[in-house]
Amino acid sequence: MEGAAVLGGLRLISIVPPAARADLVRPPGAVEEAYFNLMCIRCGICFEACPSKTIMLAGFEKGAASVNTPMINPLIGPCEYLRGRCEDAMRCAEACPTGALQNVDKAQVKLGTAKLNQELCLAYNGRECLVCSEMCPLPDAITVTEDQKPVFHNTICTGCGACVNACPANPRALTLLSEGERRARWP
Amino acid sequence: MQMHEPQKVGRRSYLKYGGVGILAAGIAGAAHLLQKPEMPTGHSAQLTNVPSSGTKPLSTETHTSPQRKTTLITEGGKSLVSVVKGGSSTDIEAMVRRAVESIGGIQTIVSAGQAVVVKPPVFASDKNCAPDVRVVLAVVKMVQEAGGIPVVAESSGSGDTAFNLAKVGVTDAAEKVGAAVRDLQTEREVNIPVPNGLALHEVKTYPTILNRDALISVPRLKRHSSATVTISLKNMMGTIPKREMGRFHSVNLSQCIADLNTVIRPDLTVVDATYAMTRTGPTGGDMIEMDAIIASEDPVAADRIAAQKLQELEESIGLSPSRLFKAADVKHINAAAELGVGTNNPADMQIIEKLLS
Repeated sequence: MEGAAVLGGLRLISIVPPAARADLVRPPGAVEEAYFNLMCIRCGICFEACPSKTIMLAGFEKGAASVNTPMINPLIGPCEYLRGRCEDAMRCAEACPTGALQNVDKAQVKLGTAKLNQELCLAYNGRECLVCSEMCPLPDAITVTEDQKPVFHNTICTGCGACVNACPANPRALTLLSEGERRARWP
Repeated sequence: MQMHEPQKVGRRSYLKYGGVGILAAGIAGAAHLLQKPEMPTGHSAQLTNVPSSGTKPLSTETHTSPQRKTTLITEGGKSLVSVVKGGSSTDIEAMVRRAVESIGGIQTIVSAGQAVVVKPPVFASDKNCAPDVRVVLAVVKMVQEAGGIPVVAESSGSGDTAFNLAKVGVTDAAEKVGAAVRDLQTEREVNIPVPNGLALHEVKTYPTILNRDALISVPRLKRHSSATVTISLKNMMGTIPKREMGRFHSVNLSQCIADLNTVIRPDLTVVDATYAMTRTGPTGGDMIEMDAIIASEDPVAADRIAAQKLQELEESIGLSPSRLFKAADVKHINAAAELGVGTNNPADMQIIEKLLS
């Protein structure tokens, strides 16, 4: 009963259209934010379907309207639909009971963009590190200069989070933002 | 983009959740706090980097590194390195057998009943970054024929190790001949000291690696973005946890690779150079046929010769000069030679080149 109450309560809050947040990266195939917040019933089934548990449920720090909605946390792992482990089966969207996550072609998905902070980057501080480019599943999203430094190309990056997940700098030199995201069309 | 029809929960139950909720909206926030999802256990540890030095391991977790035989198969004090070309033959297993026999045979390393770890690099689920399955299989079979108990073990740098091993076909191939396949990352981590290390003082590894009787490194010849090349010495980074790999990059990658090889040193290296990855790596490089298997008991010598072959290959295919490297300048190979892991001087090696047919 309590669980149902929570779900219902959060449905009420979600009638308020939330502002887009740079730090809230939605799973692949998410519809536009205003619709997403209405259509998502906060059931957590996408989180359970995710093989790497990259999808987590947002807390209050992402805004009251987004509580318990799914978000990508690259610190746990990259999006496996974009990196390969889901093997072209979009498990989160297939599991979504309401269509808040749409089954879309992999080539259409862009969750956001990885942002590099050069001051924290090991390569820009004279270390032998190009882990981000090693982890990147795309051939041209991170290129390497002749003096062994990574350069990020925002338009090619699909925001899978593989580089953010693996960055060995402390604190991490990379963050995943929803900037430039492509949402699924709805209705 | 295609539309996705709601399936599991229909419109009716969707409204039902909402309806029930309206009655109880008031307690939503409080209950949510109680319901906050738990993160996977590895998560908090992943967030904090291990300091490069100064961490004292718990004494119960510290293991002394096992004493390994250090005698090399040498001829007149020289490290033996065999390079077997297939020629018109495409029998990769025969090439591996010939390469190992040329340097003295598997029985000099493996005796009956020994636990032999076979270590292929399976960095990701990409087939090109792992060695040819037939090379791994040939080594596993040779270990079995010598009476050893082969265990194919790996700790992937990218993604889930068990998934990667299955995806590149290593799991199927090894299990077909009755060899165990182990995802090291499912094991308990153990700390071992690195007494001769210059950048590392201790390193975490896994019980399978620690309790081995022999270790056979089966790398593919590849270029590497951070380490210039990744052959046998760099392959040993697949015997440690992911967080340790990250630490290596933040300390001094080349020196850490060399230091690691002083405690986890392969007894035999079989380099798959049938196809080599050129231009960049460990994934995404261009695969060029080289048609060779390189074997040695000296991992530094194997790396030095394999790197030399890769350098020559890249020069011959007309790679842009800014991408080229010099085998003699690869930092981790030279650092490992400094620490006495093996020799990087071609004058101290005897290179046996053979053509299968």
